[in-house]
Amino acid sequence: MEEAEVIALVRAGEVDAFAGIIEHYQSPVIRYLYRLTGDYEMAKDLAQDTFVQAYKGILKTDAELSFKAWLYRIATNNAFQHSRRKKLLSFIPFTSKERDIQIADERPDCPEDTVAIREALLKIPQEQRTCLVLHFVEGFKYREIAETLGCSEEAVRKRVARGRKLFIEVYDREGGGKA
Amino acid sequence: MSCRDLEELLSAYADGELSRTQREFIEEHLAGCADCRATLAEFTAAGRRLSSLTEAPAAQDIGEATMSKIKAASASPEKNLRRWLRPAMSIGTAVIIITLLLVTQPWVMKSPEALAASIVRSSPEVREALNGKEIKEVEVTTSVVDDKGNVLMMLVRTEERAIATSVDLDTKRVTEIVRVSVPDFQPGDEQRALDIAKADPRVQELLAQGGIIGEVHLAYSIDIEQVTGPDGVTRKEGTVTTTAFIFIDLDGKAWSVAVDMDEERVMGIGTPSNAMILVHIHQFVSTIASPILLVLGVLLILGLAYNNRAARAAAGISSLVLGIIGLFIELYGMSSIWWRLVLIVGLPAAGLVIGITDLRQRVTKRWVPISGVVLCSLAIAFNLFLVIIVPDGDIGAVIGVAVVIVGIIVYALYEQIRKIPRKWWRPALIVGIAAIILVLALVQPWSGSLEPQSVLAKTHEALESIQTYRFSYFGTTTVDGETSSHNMEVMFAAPDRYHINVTIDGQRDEFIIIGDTQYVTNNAFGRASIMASSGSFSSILTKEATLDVLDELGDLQTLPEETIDGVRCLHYLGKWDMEKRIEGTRRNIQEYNAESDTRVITDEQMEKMFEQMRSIDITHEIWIGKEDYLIRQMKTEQRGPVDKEGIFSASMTMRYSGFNQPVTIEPPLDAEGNLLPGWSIYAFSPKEIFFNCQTRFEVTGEDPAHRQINAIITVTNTAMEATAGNVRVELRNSEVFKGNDETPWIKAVPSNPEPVNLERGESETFNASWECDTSHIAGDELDELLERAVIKVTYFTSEGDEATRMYTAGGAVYPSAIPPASPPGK
Repeated sequence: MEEAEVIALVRAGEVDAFAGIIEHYQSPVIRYLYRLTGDYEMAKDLAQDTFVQAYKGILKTDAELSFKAWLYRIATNNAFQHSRRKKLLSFIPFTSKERDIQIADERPDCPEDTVAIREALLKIPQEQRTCLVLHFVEGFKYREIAETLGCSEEAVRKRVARGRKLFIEVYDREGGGKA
Repeated sequence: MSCRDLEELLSAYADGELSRTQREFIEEHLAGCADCRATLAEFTAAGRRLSSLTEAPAAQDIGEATMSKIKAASASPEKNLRRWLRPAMSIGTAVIIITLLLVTQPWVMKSPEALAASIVRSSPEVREALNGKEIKEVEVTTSVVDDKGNVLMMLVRTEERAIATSVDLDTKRVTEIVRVSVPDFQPGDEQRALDIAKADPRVQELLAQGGIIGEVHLAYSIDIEQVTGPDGVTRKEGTVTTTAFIFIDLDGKAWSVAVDMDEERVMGIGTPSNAMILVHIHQFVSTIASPILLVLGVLLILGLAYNNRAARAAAGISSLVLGIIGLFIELYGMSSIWWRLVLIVGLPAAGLVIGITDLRQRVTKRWVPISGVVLCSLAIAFNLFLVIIVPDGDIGAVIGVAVVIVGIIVYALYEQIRKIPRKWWRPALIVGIAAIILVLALVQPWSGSLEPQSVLAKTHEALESIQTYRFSYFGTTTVDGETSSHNMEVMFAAPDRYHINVTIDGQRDEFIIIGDTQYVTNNAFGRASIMASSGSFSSILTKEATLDVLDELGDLQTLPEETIDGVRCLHYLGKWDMEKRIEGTRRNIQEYNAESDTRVITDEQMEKMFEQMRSIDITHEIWIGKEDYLIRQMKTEQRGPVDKEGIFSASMTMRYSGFNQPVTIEPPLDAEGNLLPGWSIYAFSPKEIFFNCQTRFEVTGEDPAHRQINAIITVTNTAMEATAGNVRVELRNSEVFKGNDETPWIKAVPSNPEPVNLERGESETFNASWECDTSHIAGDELDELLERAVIKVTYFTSEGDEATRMYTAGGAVYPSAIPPASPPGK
């Protein structure tokens, strides 16, 4: 079934039709969120939120964006929000910092080099990291990134370039470059 | 363009994201630049590395979980609920905070000194001690005693006199009033104080260690002590001395040296005491706490009103700070009301804020919102206990608690409420509002607190359950322009124990009343009964009498609220319902007459008495604590005619305090049950014999120098059950036998042969005749002077003891068992 058809069905009240969309997008969206946050469980939670918001959004708006870009925009916002919350919560009692520590412990994919790459990536400022992940991991073209993030292609090009330079710096410094 | 500037293009080139022109330009450059080639290689390698992250852990299926969330969301009009929920919560919180601030009025909390000063200024005792003169100055004299810092000595001055008072801040009462004379500060006193201090070895040591003399303050200090005068009477005497405080600064620590200027010596050297620190903390808290509370309250409201994390964080932190402030104040035992405020607002709000944030955002582990809800529930349970079960609830706190409960229910059942179909919302809202209106209409919380009559009913109820209280009584009686004053300090312990200290015109008596038994100190006025002599039908000494006053007040007017001893009071003026009282008296007399064989009190006497009662005007001004409905003060004014043309007026002020505080009232007996020295007993026994004694005079003879006077005296035994044996009657009249110091008693002869034994209710008529010289008395004065004769009735009690009772010819009980040296009535 075509994406557009599914969306039309959902708009018409066929809630179950949305399951197909989730099935199709869940792996890349979870991966994307995981790469941005470094926390696999959190990525799963955020992905759920992302799909719920996307579903509500479909009902509400006639999106002028492509569905994919739009879905990734929601996911990106959720990831940004999560990191802001994490920063804020470190000031408030009652919240644990366990998740910050989990990053180092949780390694579902094990090649050593991948770990170094992953950790270097997480040290890069969020905006640049987003562009790097979208381009290299999710295979987005600069134009698609610009559409997703709501910015110009020039901005994307700048962010990718800066992010890439920073990544090289961090990766080499942290010893990943020995290989 | 340098190579560095090309980096961005190189990056895009590596990603295949350049336009053709750009690509050609870069390729041209790369051909001739080894550095850029190296950079490109690096860039490409980095890209490759990052691309390796495409390999992600095997994705778990989140489809089912997500779909159930989506279905839940699509089934409910969440938007609608949310739209009103948050404003409702914030309005609710605003209501709680504002009502609580209004109810508790933390901003009217005063510093201890200001509080003490206002207690002193509003004290009727102080006003009396100053003869009603305007208070010019109230000065704290620094004698902060007591480890809680609760007793302050104050110097109160008018233009012409000064009194020393001590104020107990716990009970908010003036505990001592002593007249003092205040020395003036003399020029050069500061220097003199310094000289005295410098002569002291301890001060010399402080100075030797490098102490620097700072400020010098002159102050008064008051000393109140018990002094027994040469007449054996113990009284309080206050002395005011000038004290200088010299501050010496040594290593950042302030030492204060107190110098007694009169005795020219150093009284003490010390660092500021804990009590002083406490006073300062109290002052600090009371001045800054209100604005802080307001700010915290606003933060709470913002936190609930905006779905903004910063606002929520501020709200959470403000609740925490509220809790800390409350705990701090509680630890220092300063005021329980603060703690209540914190419990009512702080804990539930903290729980709510944290709970809401978590439940909605799943920020933390599950135990966090759950513990928040537990905290809220504890606070609410505690408050329900305080405001509903303990009978000092105020409506504001109840509203606050109710709003918190509703808020918690809404949030706890949020998911369930969301599932309620939209069509039920409107009916549910209407039913809810209707229920609230119905409850308000039934309970009418506003009417009960406003109607004076129902306030008095509540006061009756509140006072009835009180087991102990104290009151100080201050009264003045003016007859024909002559005023006498009487003070009483009364302690009451349920059911029937009273301890009364009476001062009448400067003479002091003590009474202990336990049931029907009255113990009196020997100099008490003629062993008269305090209850009987405390003043006709307006006696308010007993708890029952006070309750009667509350029941029998009519024509109530509401006067402006006033503060008595620091307690906000409702204030009413009411008139004594005399007809009601007359009816009650009539019933009592009729019952009494019915029990007796003969009419002890005749209808004629009764009506005469009622006539007199009707001519008396009695008003009561009552102050009732707004929170607990206990009577705090009562002022009674009486006015009425006396004799033929005179006017008497009496004013009594009673100030009640110490409700349900422990009071011990024990009979003045030693271990063997014997009376302690100085005490005697006055019992209301049914065997006690009282007479009704009526005297009529017949004057015959034309010559004023040789008048024949005949007194016909009717004596009735009005005892409950005792027989008076061998009753003998004598009469004497110093007025008529003018110039005769040793006025003889004239024996009156009974109409029946002696001995005259009078059983209960029996009467006997006695006759006494004598001739006297009335030439010095104007004709119309004679009747009046004869009325002043003293009748002495001597009899044997049922135990066989001889006893005496005295009456005036007018029929009144003579105020003393011993006839006065000078004739009465002058």
